[in-house]
Amino acid sequence: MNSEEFVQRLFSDYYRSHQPAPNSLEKREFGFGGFEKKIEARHAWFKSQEALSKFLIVNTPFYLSYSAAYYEFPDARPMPKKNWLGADLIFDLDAPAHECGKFTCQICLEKIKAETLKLIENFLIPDFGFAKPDFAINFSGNRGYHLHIRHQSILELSREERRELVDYITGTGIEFASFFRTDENNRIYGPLPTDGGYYGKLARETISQLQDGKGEIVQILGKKFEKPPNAQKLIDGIRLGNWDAVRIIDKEKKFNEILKTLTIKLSDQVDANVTADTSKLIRVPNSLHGGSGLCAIDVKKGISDFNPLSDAVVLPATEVKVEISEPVPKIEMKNQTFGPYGKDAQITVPAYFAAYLICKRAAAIG
Amino acid sequence: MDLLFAAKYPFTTGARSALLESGISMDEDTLQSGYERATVALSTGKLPKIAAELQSALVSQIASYASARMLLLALNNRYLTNRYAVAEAKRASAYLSGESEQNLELLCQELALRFEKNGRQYLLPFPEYLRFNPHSVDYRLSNRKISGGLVQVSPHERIRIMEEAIKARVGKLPDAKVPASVQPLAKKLLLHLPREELATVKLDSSNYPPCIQNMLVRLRMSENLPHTARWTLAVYLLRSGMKPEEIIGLFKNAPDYSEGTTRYQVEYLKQKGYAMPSCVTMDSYGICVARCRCASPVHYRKEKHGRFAEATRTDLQKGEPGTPSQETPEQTLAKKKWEDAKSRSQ
Repeated sequence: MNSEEFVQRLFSDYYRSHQPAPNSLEKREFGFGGFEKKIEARHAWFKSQEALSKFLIVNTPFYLSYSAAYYEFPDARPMPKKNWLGADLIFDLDAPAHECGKFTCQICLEKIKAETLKLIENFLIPDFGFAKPDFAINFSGNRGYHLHIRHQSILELSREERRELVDYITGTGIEFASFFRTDENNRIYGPLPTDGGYYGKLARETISQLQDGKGEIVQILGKKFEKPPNAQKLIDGIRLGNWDAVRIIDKEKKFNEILKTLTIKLSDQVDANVTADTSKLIRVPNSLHGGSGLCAIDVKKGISDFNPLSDAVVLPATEVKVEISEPVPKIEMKNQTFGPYGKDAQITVPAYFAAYLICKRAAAIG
Repeated sequence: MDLLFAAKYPFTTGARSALLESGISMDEDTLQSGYERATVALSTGKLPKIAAELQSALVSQIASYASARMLLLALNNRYLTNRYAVAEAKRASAYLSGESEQNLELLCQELALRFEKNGRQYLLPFPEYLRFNPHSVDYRLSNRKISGGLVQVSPHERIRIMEEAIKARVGKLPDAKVPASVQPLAKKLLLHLPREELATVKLDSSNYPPCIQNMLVRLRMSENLPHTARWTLAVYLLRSGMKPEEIIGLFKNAPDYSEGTTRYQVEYLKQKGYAMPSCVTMDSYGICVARCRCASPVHYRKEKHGRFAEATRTDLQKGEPGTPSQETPEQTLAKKKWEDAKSRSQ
């Protein structure tokens, strides 16, 4: 049995007892990928949950994707013949490139988790008025999270409209001039804490950091705001919309910088094209990821306590012998520490970790 | 039914029932009045307000609207329909600013715009806002007060949004059959198509960056591009060596085209020799459509054949699922494998 067959057999066994059950399955287009490629074929359609489950057990793709869109005829080609009926709103957040490379480290995974939380708690809920039951969040299976919003109000948004939403959360197009006005005495009047959108965010976040005496915003404003009375004076001013209660040097530049700290910072963390593409194929929640052997598992219990390298590990722990083909750093999985391993090392490890290494092209069945 | 209201806003359901009640039939005279209404709209881009408020005059106003749209439906030409819709929306908008709050609310209900009054401002659910805002820089969501799914707009902006919704309403023709007898009169409206067909302008657009291609496509489909988009498009085309005359020809497809204004703007741009905005600026205008990673649209050609080509390739490899750009023989085989497998399992 070669490595590819080994992983495929593990996947097939897993699908016998755990079937991904996408909502409105019969209205979605499906795509599959093999060991080498994430999408080898698309335009597939399953008439029932049973058909999908059977397919997964018998043919076991390494990657299973479905359309964010709902179609009348999901398998029709070319695209216009499918008759688009609407699409979920998707946000795809991936950990940024880092020295950890393909073995995504805990730090990167934590960072992207924080960014996902920020997107939900600072934007989607307060600004767009979504409620917790409106989202489904799942681990992407590799290095990030997918957010699916299925609320009736957004299903028919066009590409351009979705793009505008992404531009909003990344702060694209923010015009400093529309946030502040300067009166004839060069005094700056600005947003109130009660304002909506970036206006209120700016006022509230500035006040909160001034109260703590620390944070990115306080750093930008300068040392003299680390302590009351200056901080308190500015806070009192901002509450009334007066951003000039204390003298600030280079204020326009500084306020501009502060605005930038409020956005979902690294714009490539939210892949803008995924959200805007209304015919995008995306990993099916609760399917297995052929690039990691991890499960694109639903984050049900709450994302703050979620740890992918433990909660998304679903393959069995049976011991397997593998040979390392490239150096592997120390990795913690399911509360057990593995490695580091040098090239050509022969190791006996649980099947889930063996599958992880094989999917990462770092080991082969020994 | 308030007949004056119906005549001012002939796209409303009230207007439709007023027309039915009046018993007016789509006879030759009615069709002729529709033809005249469409001719004025298409040739001048504007429509006059109601001149006489006699009952019968009001009813014929509504009838002329209905028959103009029937003629447009017979042609089903996107350019003519959009240009007509722009003129109707402008006409309606001229009434809106002096309209009573009660009537404005009635219209919003009709247009499915759920504005809520909030002090001196209004709040609109964001999907409706996204759909019907005029897409200029001032309306970008980033600079808006939005909270709980509602976007705040001023009374003036509310009217602008209503105008856009009216344009969309008028431009959306019903899915209905038109009697063949209407065709000869309808065909006469084809005269108002832009004389120079777009195809006569030589465009090697394959090397244009996605943003520019997108604007050209939208223009070709007679969409109303926002000012910033038209401006950048003209600057780009001027810089790529196109003559002002050719560029003016392109804009003939815009539904609100006015030759004088376009000529003035394009020639002014040429004379000023404006630099092409950078990608960051394009993005802030809301007209960047792809992340192609060149600093400016004018660098696209170079990037596409150099570093950029490389970058996209690796991107595709590591990227999330997407459409394969070009199928290789291996992919074809693999696809067949899955298709066979699937047909067995169903």
